[in-house]
Amino acid sequence: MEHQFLKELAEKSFAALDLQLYIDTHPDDAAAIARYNESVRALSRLQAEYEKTIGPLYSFVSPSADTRFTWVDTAWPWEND
Amino acid sequence: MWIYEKKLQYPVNIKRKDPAAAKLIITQYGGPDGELGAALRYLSQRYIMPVNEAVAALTDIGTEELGHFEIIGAMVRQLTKGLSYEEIKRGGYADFYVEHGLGVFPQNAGGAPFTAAAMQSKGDAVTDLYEDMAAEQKARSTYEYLIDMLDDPDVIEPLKFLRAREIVHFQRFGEALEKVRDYNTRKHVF
Repeated sequence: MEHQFLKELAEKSFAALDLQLYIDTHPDDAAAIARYNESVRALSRLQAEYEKTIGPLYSFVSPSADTRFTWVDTAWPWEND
Repeated sequence: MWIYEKKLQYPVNIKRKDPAAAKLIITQYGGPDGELGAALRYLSQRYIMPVNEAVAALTDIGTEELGHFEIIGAMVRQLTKGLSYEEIKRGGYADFYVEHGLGVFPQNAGGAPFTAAAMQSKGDAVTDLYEDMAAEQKARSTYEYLIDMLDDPDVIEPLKFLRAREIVHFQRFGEALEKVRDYNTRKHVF
């Protein structure tokens, strides 16, 4: 499940990133900005879902469980076993 | 400031160890046209850009390159994790092994360590953006040469993704250069 989740997260996150690079050099393109905003909203919904089911995604942004800092336990991005 | 995301920009899931492939791919970790050099180049050139569009493009592309640096690190790790002495010797990895064990070290395919001598920050926006466009083309060529030399689809797919990103970045830098040119022209009109 984690693999599938990460794949979907990578896709949504890529869409937002690529649109951001485009509007960096086209800051007046309202249609692209609308797509960017839509993409960022979809991404943050998925991020919240991921953090609830799998674990924290961001250092010093994602809150921790109360009694164990699970950031140190969940898989690192380069681990594939 | 940067925030670490505990995920890769593009998934890497290599099932077959291949130290010879790792030794080639590592050039995109620490070689002259690699991702570390790209990140340092763009993030260092930002400060003197006269237009915000160019600063934004360098900041965001430089940040993405750090993510690519991590993708390459993940590939090298997965290609070499748990190698036996026999596999190290047979795979031509012994020279790397005696210096770095199974660690991941920024070097080019020939073993030369990472050096900032392969990049510039010239203090001239036009010069720097031309360098950046050339850098993206050089990285694209390297990814193509790597793809020519490798055959495992688990290895090829992330390399194809990274190759495609070089083309997008080239385009964005071209647009940033246009913004700088417009600014330079405007400045001389009044």
